Amino acid sequence: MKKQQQLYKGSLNTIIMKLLEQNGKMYGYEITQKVKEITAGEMNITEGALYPALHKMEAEGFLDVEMDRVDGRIRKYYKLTENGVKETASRMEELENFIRNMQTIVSPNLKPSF
Amino acid sequence: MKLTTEQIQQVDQKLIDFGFTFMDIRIEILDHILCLIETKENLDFKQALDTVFEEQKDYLKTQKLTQWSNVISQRVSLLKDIFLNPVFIFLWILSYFIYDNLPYSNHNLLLEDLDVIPMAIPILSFVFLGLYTFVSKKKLQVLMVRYLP
Repeated sequence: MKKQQQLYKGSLNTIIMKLLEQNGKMYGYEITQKVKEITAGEMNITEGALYPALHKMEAEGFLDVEMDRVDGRIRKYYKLTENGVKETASRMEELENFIRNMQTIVSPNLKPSF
Repeated sequence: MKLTTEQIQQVDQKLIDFGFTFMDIRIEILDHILCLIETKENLDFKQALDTVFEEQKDYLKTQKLTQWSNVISQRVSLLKDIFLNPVFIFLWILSYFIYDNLPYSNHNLLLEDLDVIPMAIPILSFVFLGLYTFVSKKKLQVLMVRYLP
């Protein structure tokens, strides 16, 4: 499982941006739970990886922040900016190319479905 | 489990005691910790609180160490937005041009009436652009929102 986590490491930002594109605004804990749900527990984003990634993307202008009072505390929601939407499309294309190339290496006779 | 106001305050105080000084950093960590506590349905609040803090101690220690650098980088980013704003840079250049070309005899006399103009333009532009940047980036939300009822 640990070796698999290393493989996911480089695509963390792309995964976060894709989730935000699909779900509008999300908060940190919600992102970790969504990833766990989608991957049936195979991928586990730790707080130590997630929040620095979110803050970095916010500083780069890809994410915007919204505060809301929920259940007696303040919750910080993240959503994509206009630049973030463009960047997500660009990163998804890169990731798809990567997956296609890896698929060719791993199973040369198998054609990827996308 | 649904947490009461007093329980939320207790968790917040525990984070303050842990060393989280800055509210804008602590807000997010508090929400995350509370979400984790809320999932511990088979434990009472005190047990859930201790369990979550134990599980998250490495993360909390790292965050406590980096909170200063996080806050400084946020403040620097805000200042960059002001000082690297093209309008602000234009007004600084305009001020220098006015100062250099005004028709008075001694450039060093600060109390000459016309000397106020090249000082007033950058000062006023800094104030207005600073306010605009601050409000437009929603930084005000962090200060204005009271997270404890």
